[in-house]
Amino acid sequence: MTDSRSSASEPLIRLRGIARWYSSGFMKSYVLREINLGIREGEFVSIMGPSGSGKSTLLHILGMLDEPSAGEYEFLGEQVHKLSAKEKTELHKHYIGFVFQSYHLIDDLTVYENLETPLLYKNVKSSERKSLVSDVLDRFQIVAKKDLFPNQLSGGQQQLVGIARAVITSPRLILADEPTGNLNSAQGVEIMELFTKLNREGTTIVQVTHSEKNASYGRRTINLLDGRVEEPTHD
Amino acid sequence: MLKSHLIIALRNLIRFKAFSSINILGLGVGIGCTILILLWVQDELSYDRSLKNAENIYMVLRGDKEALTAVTSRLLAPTIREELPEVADATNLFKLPESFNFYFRYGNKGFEERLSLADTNFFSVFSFAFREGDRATALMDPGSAVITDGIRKKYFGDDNAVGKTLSVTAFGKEYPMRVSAVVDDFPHNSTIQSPIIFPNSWLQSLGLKDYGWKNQSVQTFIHLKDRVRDDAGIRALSSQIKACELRHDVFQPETLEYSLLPLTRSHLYGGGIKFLTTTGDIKYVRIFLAIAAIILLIAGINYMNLTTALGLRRTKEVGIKKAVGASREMLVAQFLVESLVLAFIAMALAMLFVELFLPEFNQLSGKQLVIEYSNPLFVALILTVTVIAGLLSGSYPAFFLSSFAPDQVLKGKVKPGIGGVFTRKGLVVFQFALSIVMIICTIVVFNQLAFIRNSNLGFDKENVVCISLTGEANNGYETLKTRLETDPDILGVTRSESMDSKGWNRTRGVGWQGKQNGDNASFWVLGADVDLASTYRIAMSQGRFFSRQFPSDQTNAFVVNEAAVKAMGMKSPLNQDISVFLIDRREGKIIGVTKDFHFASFHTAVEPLIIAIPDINQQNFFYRTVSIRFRPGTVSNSLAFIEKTWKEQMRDVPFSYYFYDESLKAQYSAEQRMETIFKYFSFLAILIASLGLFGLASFSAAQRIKEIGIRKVLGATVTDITLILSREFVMLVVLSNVIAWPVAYYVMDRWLENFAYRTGISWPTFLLAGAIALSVALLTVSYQAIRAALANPVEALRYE
Ligand SMILES: Nc1ncnc2c1ncn2[C@@H]1O[C@H](COP(=O)(O)OP(=O)(O)OP(=O)(O)O)[C@@H](O)[C@H]1O
Ligand SMILES: [Mg+2]
Repeated sequence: MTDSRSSASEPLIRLRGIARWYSSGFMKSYVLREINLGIREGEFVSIMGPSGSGKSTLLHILGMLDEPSAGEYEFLGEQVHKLSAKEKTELHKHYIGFVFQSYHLIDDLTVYENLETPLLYKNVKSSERKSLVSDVLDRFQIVAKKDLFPNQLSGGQQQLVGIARAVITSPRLILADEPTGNLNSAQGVEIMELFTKLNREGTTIVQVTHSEKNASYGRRTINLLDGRVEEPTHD
Repeated sequence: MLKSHLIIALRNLIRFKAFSSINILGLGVGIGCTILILLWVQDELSYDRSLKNAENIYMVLRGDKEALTAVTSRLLAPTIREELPEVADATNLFKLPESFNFYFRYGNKGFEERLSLADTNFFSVFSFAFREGDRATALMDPGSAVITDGIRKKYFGDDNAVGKTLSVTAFGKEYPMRVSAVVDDFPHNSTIQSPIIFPNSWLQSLGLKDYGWKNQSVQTFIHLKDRVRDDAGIRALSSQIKACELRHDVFQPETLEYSLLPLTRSHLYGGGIKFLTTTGDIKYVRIFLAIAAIILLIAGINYMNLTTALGLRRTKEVGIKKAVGASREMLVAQFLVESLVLAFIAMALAMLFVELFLPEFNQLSGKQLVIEYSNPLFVALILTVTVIAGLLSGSYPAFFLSSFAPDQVLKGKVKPGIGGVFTRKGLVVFQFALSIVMIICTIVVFNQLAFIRNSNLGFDKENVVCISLTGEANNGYETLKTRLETDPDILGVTRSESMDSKGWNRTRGVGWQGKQNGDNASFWVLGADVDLASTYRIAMSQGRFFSRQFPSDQTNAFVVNEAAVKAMGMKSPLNQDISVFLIDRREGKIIGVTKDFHFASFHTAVEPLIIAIPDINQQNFFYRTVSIRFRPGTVSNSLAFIEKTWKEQMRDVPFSYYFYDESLKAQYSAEQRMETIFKYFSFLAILIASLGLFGLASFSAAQRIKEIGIRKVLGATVTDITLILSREFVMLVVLSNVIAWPVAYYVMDRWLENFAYRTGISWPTFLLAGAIALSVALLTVSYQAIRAALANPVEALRYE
């Protein structure tokens, strides 16, 4: 949405021959193999696949939370696989909002404080933090919950907070792992519409989902099966 | 069932290796320290208790609170025996001062030994076991000697001693003494330690004059028929003893007071009583008990904290077990078995610790403690302590965790007790507060001892060597002095009573003009020659010291200290006439006043002192020490020269010397011992406490592993995370300081009251202790924090 953003056709993410395996004993068990993928700035991509097919793993790698066992990952022209942990944290902090499949809120902080945390680490000024947090509380209709702790919320409410925390910093890329898994259909629609709106304003979105309906909000769907990308379906 | 509990217990021990070993180590070391200290305390409390009738034996004390002495007249015991029917028996013992050691010889074996004199009935009051000879008649004959088994071995080897003749050199002559009995060596926990005992009648047989009631030098013991239980009875008896003495000795002042000290208390409560040398002090028993309690407490808290923390990590396990049908009793039993197993391993470690450090500890504390494994009481005690420790520390997790409904636990509704967190933090604060108190105590004790070492005593204690010189040997002194002074490195030679002030006389028999009736001030009297002030570099405040230029100084002059001037209330002391009654009455003028110098320890204020040159015919009796000042840096040469000269001049007189400043250190041996022991135990206390902190920090890091992961994902740096994790513990330690400081101040302020001259407790002491505790805590915690901060966030987040 800012002018400094590059045009929609430039590749934001490029994966070449990405693989991820766990070695147990002498065995390598592959979770991902030979993933080649490009995502351009401004895309809205859905990842689908059966349980255990490696969707979360892929998303973690995209979010620089996990490292591929092999392959190359380019993010905004940076060779991610060559960066140090600290540089990756910096990249993540500035460009990425991540929604976890299991929310991952901080138990000891209130909803308000949970939302404020990413802003703190981005050194946002106090007054600005306040207005950003109240904006997002409003937008997600959770103002009444702002002083509660995560374990005082229902699963769906926690998920909402998790999404709110991801969008609060206005990241260029949102990675969402089953963001609507615990929401009712009305809420799910709202989140999808929010994503669509953000996408229209220029935010790149990659979501993992089990639902065809949610996937249809995206402009492209990637199917994972046993750690491989199925032939891309064209829309 | 038990077997399966045990197997699970061991598996958990191994599963939580780090935790378990910290736990066992802390508890083991803690229990080990406690056992060591309790062994010491038990030994201190056992003094004189093994004697038959120990409970009924009392020591007669003279004087008021200010100046209590353990010495009485040799005539008191026989008089009490005769005149007081409620006393079953009375006896006395005269332990000659160390500086009086006599030279004993059998064949070609000869040594200096400490000699004691006793009443004929000594061994019927004191039930020391006889090896040879007859208890009833052992001290009847003036020429008999009772020796310990150790002395027998030393002189007679494997042979029996009774009937053999041991000769003693006293006052320049050799006397034959017939060994009449051999007693067992005195147990180390006996106040009475007299390896050679002669009967009192021996002195008379030498033709020495006994000054009767005026000579107050022996310890009198009474043996009561029935134990007088109440204070009133003891007081009544004391005043009867006083009346008894006043009947016979009209010269004693009315104000004289008597009191009785139970023999069993003389070791621990006898401090401060003149002429009663005791190494014990109830104060130190209490201090040590407190240290033991503190260390055990710190270790116990660790154990409890870590066990519950660990238990909380297992809430899920408990929930699942319950869900599949485990009864509450089974869960409780399992937790208790686990903590008992841990406690027993810790106990084994503790015993290992004790075995390892007992020799070292014995050296520090000056004892020969042993562990009596065969003593069923000891074994029972150890087992009980272990079982109690195990059950107590296991009970919290056992009963707390097993009480939840399974679905509560599984749904994560059991917020591992806010209360629990709070208590755990409170306990950590308490632990650290105790450790900080101990550190502060260590520093204060160290400071006080340094203060004593570095203070100006009012004279120069360095570079003086003292040699004992008694009796007839004094006759060779003048020539010795002249020959010594030919060496330019010898800066001064003087002769006096022994300079440790312990053997000095004290008298209230000082008269001066304007003395109020009933003025009871007592004065130390020191016999010394003209060279004392120059050799010891004692500064004068008025007048002059004795001098050869004034022959009258030898007979009618006194030098006093400022405290004495104050005690006599004199405005201008010079040339005032005073009289001093010691063995005889002497009158003379005050020719000089010395500045107050510290002839006694810093425990007491400088007391009034009168210095006089002894009568020409009593000099052999008074003079017992030659003090020689040598040029600094010439110790070995000077000492060699002194020894050579001594051997040539004094021939048979043994050359036994000590350095004056060394002898002064002995005055503070109790404090010195306390300093070392404090140092060790406060180190251990902080070690155990930080072990616990280490465990808790790792627990906390583990518990917050998800939070750390999330924060990292959201952009927190390693520094951020380390700070977050360390901050809470730092706050705890800061809080501990706040609690510890006033407590330590109060305790040490009271301890310092033992000294008339003392350092203050200054701010830097507190800050230093705080800094030590804080850095130990930081070091401990930040290790865990950094480790947690460096971990890969995805690893952490995948736990869900
Ligand atoms: N630490 C690990 N060790 C071994 N295998 C692992 C590990 N973590 C994940 N896996 C495996 O990786 C595979 C992919 O997991 P992932 O979480 O990416 O699946 P997913 O597609 O997100 O499934 P779902 O739809 O259930 O969320 C799984 O088969 C899982 O067993
Ligand atoms: Mg997944």
